[in-house]
Amino acid sequence: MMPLLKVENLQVSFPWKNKSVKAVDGVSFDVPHKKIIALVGESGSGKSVTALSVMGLIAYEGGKIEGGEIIFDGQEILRMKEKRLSKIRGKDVAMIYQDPMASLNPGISVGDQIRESLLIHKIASRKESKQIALNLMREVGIPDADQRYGSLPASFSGGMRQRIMIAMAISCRPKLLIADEPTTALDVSLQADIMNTLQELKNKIGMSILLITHDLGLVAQHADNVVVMYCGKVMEESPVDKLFEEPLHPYTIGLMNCIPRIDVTQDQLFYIPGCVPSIYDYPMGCRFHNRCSKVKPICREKMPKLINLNDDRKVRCWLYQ
Amino acid sequence: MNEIVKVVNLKKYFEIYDVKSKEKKYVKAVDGISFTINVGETLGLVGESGSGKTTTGKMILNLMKPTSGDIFLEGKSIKNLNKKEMRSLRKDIQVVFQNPYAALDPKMTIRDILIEPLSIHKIVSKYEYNNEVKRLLNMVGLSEKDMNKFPYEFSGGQRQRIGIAKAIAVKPKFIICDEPVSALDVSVQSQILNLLCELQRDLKISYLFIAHGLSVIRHVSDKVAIMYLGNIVEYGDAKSVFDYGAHPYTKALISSAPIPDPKRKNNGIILKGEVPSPINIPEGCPFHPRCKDAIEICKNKKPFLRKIKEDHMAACHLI
Amino acid sequence: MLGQRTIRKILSKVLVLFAFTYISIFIFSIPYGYSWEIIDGRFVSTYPLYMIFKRCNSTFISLLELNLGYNIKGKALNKVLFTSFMRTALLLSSSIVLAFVLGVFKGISDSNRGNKNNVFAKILISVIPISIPDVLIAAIMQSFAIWLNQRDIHIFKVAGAGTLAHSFLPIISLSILPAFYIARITSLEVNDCYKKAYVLTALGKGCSSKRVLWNHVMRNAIKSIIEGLPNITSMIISNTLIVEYMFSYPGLTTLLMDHIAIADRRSSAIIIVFIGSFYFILNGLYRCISTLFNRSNRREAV
Repeated sequence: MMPLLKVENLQVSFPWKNKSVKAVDGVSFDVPHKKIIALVGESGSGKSVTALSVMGLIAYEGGKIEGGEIIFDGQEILRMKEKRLSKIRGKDVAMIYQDPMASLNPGISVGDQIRESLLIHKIASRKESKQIALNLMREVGIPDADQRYGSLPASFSGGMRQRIMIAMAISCRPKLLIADEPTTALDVSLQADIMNTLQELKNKIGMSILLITHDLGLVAQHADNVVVMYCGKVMEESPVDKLFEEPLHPYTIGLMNCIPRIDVTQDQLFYIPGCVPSIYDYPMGCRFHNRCSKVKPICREKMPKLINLNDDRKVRCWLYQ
Repeated sequence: MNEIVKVVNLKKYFEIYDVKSKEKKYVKAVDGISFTINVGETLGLVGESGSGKTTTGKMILNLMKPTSGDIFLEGKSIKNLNKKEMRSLRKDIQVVFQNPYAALDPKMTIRDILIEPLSIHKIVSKYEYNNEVKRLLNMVGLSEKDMNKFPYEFSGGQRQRIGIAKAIAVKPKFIICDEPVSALDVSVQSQILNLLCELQRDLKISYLFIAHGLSVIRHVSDKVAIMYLGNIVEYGDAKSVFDYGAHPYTKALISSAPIPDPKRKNNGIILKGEVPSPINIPEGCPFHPRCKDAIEICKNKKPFLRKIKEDHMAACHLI
Repeated sequence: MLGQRTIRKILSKVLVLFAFTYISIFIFSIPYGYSWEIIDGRFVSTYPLYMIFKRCNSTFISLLELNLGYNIKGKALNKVLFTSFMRTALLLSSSIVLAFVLGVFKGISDSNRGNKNNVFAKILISVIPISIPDVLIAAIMQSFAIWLNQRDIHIFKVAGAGTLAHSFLPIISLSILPAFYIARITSLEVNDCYKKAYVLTALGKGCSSKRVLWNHVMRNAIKSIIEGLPNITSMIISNTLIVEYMFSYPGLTTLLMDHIAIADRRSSAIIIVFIGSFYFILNGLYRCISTLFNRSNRREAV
């Protein structure tokens, strides 16, 4: 069965002085129907750029598509014309962003923002869309929906604003929801609630979620498959239980080891030496080699390819080639 | 004297004028908290936004005057100190901030940034400045080659190291760390946490570690205080609090922290409702509207911290 | 509708206005050649103080009755001032509205509307016109109208007695400079708003760029533009002097020039006060409009 989203060798660059730097350098992964795929990486890994490329918003942010293709629901959307793209955006693929305060228009009422997608995509008339928006607000758990329909975003707390964003995104029942660090700006007690809401909606609507995060705990609890990114490339791709049981790539192993655990007391935390290389100054060969504990001479010279191990696991490392 | 910092019944109320009801109301940011930090110890202060933890930190630094209550540093009250005494006290307390990108002056080289505290408090003579800067940089894991660079040339983790070097330059006895690793990547967080623990062992510094990430707190703290809407709801030895969390809020927080193990799904206690605003703190126990075990007395009477175990207190009527 | 606090504020402002007016009239009522001395511990002056007060009070009361007296030639000021005031008011209000409309549209077209490419030349285009003196603009417009008239196209009247048709050219030439200022403010605000995150959200919902501009960006930008309008009030009022003179438009400033020419101190002072009142009226209007926009915000912010 064709996956819902197929990203194939995506390459995106940004202009820098007189040249350009590649933020995403050959990223490929699949998102099957009705599954949660986690895109894990730290700053500079290119996960947000990938998400924006799927939405077709990367040109707006100044990015240039250098290569690859993205096939969503059978259509190639990476090079689609803006007019056709805007018909898909918000309707079949929607996105929720990291900072709900900044991402909501402070001058428009919450209800109007939620129903905007319905009006743009001509799914409902003005009257009907108000009713649908009220139902959506109740669906995501906003209390007193009738009274708060006309309120401005500033009068809501952080958790509520994120729910408003979720309501906005799912208003047209999209097939794919991209969640860019949906809980990073929220307090711990709200994180679990928001994630549970997303899970329930996913089951109800039958949509897939592309979850972008750096929190491996979230990944373990909610994701079905995991794609680990580092410096613009995919380092490992695997179902979640196999990833945690037996991580293959040294970067993944390092990431898992350096998380402080709440259930275990540790003396000294494991850490990955060095720091993420700057995008202007990537090392030769494998981009992780200067921090890798299992580095070999070939790692310093040649970039390994992303190969298939067994059926569902992929890894980019000379240890396995 | 084993106690470095002692806070007694600290309160901070902000006065506001409510336009709708046309009366004066109080934002009870901090509503009567007390704790002690001993030499070489770390107290973890956990709380969500609006719990009052940053306000507490500011009051200890004397950046904000408390409405009532007292703060003792090494046994001396900081309430009525004059400017000169306060200045010399500033040598003993330092801060490490959350945002490494904003905490360093972008126009000053690292050398200038580190020399500034040395010269203000006259830690070493002029001729010793360079050597002292080298020593500090080595202590935090940076090299002397970085001395003449500017902050923008460093990554987030490295900038945080510079911030820490700045803090330990004056040989303080006590450092307040206000979410020092929240803005950093995961692989760098552990480096910085290890550095802080190392410095504590070598220089015998005490920390007040403010954060909202429970696993981070568990790793660095000896004692933990959990704050909710300006009150401490649980206080005691870190291992005891995390293993036998007594207060319903503590239990909910611990259970909602996602465990990085797909086989152990969180059966998180989901807190219903939103965090109420500090203007309208509920009557009785401030947590009762969101507590699934709340009983009648919780709505009327505010519980006080009671001893549950050796070195472990909680404020709840149910225990 | 108005709360107690607002009433108190307005009353205090009115009181200050009255006190200021009284003091100004008092100073005006002091005659030429007034001097005083203290001889043998007694206060001696060339003009008895109580007479000055009497003069001042009578002037003040007549002002309150809105009877402005007579000018040096014996004509009653009231009527002539009122008509001139209305004409200048028409001129000012129409040109501000025209300037706003032209300026906002030009500003939107000047702004980069989200494109991250540098458009340096566009900035120059909006800055240079601000340095053109209004005299030049008025002269060009006048010449243009004469040129049209010579070719029997009588849409613009070159001179007249303050009729509506007469006011077209002055309105247009008065509105040009403020339009450029407003365009500049608009393009800066619009650029600022486009950098915000909610524009990305709107695009992510599938909004067309037209919808993003009008429903999302302009809604927030207009507030800031209106807040920037008081800065150009003084410029507009001083340009009115030039424009009315160049087009012989019988407005308030022309009246002022006439009275200065016949050396009528008193009438000139009164006309100046009325010209100044435009400043307060305009700024007050801007404030009202911006609170109207902001009320929808303030209503909800707890």
